[in-house]
Amino acid sequence: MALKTKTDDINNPIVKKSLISWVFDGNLKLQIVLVIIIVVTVAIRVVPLEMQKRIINEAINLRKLDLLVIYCGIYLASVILASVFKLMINIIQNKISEIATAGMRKQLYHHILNMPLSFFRNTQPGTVVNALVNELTIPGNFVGMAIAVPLTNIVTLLAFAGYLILLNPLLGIVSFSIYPLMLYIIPLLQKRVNQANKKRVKVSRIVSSKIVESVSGIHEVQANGAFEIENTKYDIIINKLMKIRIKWALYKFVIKVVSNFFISMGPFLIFIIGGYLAINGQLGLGALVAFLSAQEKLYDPWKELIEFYQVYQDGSINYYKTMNYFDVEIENELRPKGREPYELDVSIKVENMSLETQEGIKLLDDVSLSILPGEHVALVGFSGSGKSSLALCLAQLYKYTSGHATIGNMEISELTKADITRNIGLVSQSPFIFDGTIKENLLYSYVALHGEQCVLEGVCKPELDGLVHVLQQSGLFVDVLRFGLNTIVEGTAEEFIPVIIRMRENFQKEFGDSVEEWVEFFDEKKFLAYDTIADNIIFGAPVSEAFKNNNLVENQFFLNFLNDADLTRPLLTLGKEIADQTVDILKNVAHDKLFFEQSPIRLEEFERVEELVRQIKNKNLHQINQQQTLELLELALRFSPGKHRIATVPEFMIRLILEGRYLFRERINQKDPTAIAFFKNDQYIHSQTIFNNILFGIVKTTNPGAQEKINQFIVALLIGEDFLERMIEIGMDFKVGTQGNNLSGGQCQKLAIARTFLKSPPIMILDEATSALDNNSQKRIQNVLSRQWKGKSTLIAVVHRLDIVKEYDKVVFLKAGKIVETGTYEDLMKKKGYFYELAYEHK
Amino acid sequence: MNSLMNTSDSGDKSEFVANLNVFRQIEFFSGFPMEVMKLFAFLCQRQSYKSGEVIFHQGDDDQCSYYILSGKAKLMLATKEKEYAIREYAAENYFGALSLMVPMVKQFSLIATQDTTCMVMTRKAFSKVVDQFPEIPLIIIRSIAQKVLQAERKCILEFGSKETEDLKDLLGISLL
Repeated sequence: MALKTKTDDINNPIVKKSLISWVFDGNLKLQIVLVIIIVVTVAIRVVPLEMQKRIINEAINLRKLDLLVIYCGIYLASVILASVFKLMINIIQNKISEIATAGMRKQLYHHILNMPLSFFRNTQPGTVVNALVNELTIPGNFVGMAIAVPLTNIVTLLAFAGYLILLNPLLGIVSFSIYPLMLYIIPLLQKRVNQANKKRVKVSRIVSSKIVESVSGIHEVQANGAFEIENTKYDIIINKLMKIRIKWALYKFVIKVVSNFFISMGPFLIFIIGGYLAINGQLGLGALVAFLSAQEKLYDPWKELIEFYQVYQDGSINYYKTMNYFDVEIENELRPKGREPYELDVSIKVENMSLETQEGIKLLDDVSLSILPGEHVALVGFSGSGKSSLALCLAQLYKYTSGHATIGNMEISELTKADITRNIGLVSQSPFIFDGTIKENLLYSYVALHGEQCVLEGVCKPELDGLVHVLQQSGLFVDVLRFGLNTIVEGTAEEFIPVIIRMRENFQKEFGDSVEEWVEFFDEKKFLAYDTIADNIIFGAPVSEAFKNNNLVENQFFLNFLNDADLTRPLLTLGKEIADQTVDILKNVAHDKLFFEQSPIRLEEFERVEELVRQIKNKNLHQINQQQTLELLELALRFSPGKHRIATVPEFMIRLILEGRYLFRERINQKDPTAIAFFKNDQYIHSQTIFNNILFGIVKTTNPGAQEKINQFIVALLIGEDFLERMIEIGMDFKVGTQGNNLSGGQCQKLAIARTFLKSPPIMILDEATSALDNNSQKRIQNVLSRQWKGKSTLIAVVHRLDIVKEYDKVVFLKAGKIVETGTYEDLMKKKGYFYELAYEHK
Repeated sequence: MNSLMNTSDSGDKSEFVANLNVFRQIEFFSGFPMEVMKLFAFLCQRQSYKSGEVIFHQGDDDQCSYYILSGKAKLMLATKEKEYAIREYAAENYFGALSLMVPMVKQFSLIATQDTTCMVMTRKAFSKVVDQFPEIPLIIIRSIAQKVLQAERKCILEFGSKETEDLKDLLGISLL
């Protein structure tokens, strides 16, 4: 289904669609139903008029009670029916609106994803968000109204007109004569409204940019004391805006007043002419009442028509403004028509290819190159030499402006996206990692190639072995393993608890002594600097909910204990210190997750803590209220002196905590011995990570060398227990955060490389894909490329490190968009040209 | 390790406050606004190295800068033929500001010659902070330009006094 809408896009791109076409597009059935209901409703609406006439002329005049009952009954029924139908019309109309808005949003999004990269360089993400989220609501509303509103109201007007003319032709024609006049005058006024509105939008933008300017230049303003100057500038624009807004509103009011005036002219005409006719006996009293009440009823349809007219105006301005903005030609079709994507013969030929920007700058200038299947080619040069541009042209992400580039004799610019993605895997300089797990990101290219359906149904589901293999190739294996080990297993972990306990025993037996200085073991006589104060006091994993960290400050038993252990006051002091310091440091910066790693305060709590600090400023601890006390206590209990460096835990407090640990244990054993599972060497600790469970302690060193050594110990143990793959599986469920925020730059690159390896494309393009990796990781990946991918996949790599260039079959040196040297590493070194010079400089 | 707690710092001063005092003394950061230095002090980490351990390695892009808080370390340069000990650094020396700004490999190695503790700042943390203060890059550019100029002047002085032809090739770096 998704596939169908996508091909539709190409035949008739949304940006070329008229607003009117949405009225029937996919809504035809609903619109037909709507028309039928409307016609019936309008017919029903005339009934009360007729009944009014009959009630007066027949029932009341002739004093017939039975007729009165019947007519009133019909009157009531038609009113009820009309209301029910009106509700149905509204529901259908709303549904059409929403379907249209959703359709516009989806199709525009599909279109935008497919737009050329150059478009995105000059476009703020905010503009796209605004277009997709806000701008399309009014056009959507219009689509819902497009049939219903004009039809209902025009037909109503016509029906009333017909009925009234039938009743009395002269009076009917006279009372409707005002509408053509309005139809002439109102659009004229609306034109003024539109002009004023456009001006208002324009000046509003100037106001915003003025505000942005003075806020970002506030240093300069204050340093120069230029308040007068800035105020004057701002005031002038605001005055201008004010005048335009007054004018805008004025025209709108004029429309309203004119429209109301004409409408109230109706009864006037009826009174004067109808009255005259009635006096002369040419018009029944009932008919006169019908005329008067029809006049009143005409007001609503007319008002709705005017509103509809305004929605139409605003909607089409918004719609066409948005669509024109995104009306950039899509360079390549997504999918081929009538065939499967090509499996190309992977020889690549580039002939006299150039890439010229709109300003006439040649990023690539007359480049020619041929690459054999399976060949590994390094693109080398200074930054700005065009090496990345060349790679991206081959990946069809840039469209070369002249010359030819072919893969298997097929012109790249004429291939569909599906042909390219079937044959090429690209790892870009700063790969994008999507919110989700490692595994989802790892499968990203693979799933895109094989289709979600195929992977979900298990037909082409990759084996765990395959995933592990690419993780090893890319070097991400160790990272994933660490993520796995750092998982706190929730729920049913029973299956591997015995394994972990066994590993703990073996770890202590084999490595215990050698890691003592890097690890804080769970020892009831020692304070754990790398664990929280709460954990230090409880020294066990809470089983009862009331003792879980978040609930501690609501636990009266625990609060009493803190008092008795003389810990309340020192903890409050600590909490205040933490809150004050963190707020002082972070008050003026945009909140980033990284900033909160060093503080027990969480990102989402910051505003509340900021408020707390404001409240208790200049107050002593005995002056703060209960709620504030608990908030400070909570911060202090979450504090871990080894991790959070903004405050210290004084020596005396450590003694109190260690003392308190025994007191707490004694009390809890009396009250509820099962509430806490105390740290014991032969038990799994559910509140701690797998890693800490194996160590039976917490790593305190940040020294990478030491961490590496501990990891090696653990890996040895995992292999011994045949538990390595299971741990990798757990690690692959690690959540990478938005834009891969929880990963380092190097991990992101390794993940991007791994996902391309998994896709295993015939052509691989690496655009400085290893730039964020350390030397050893780069070398390892290069080894994998040379050993395992040579001959298997054609490789085009933009290389910034010259020591790995030796491994490539061919080196291409670019300078100012031209290929100036091509050959093997040895050739170029012998030649003593550009490459030699660059290589020499690097040494 | 007679203390009940395993942190190196004692006394009432938090590590953050100690770090802040250090940052204020580092020349490279001296022009930065106080709120920026607070963030740096807040985000940096301490790391200890045993005597003989490598702090950073020539050819690696470790994305970090280092300030020696205590201990001693020697700066090493490896060429194809030989390894040179350039000089030894004691506490209160700062290395690697460039690594905070751009991807680059370290041109030297630094090896602890005593048990050493460093204050380490990462590129990630640095750029997160700098992103929020548009005036910082300008301060940095000025500071780097100053450094380049100083290095050039030193070279010229050396060249003037010794008139060795070898130095000629190295001249002109400030004309970049």
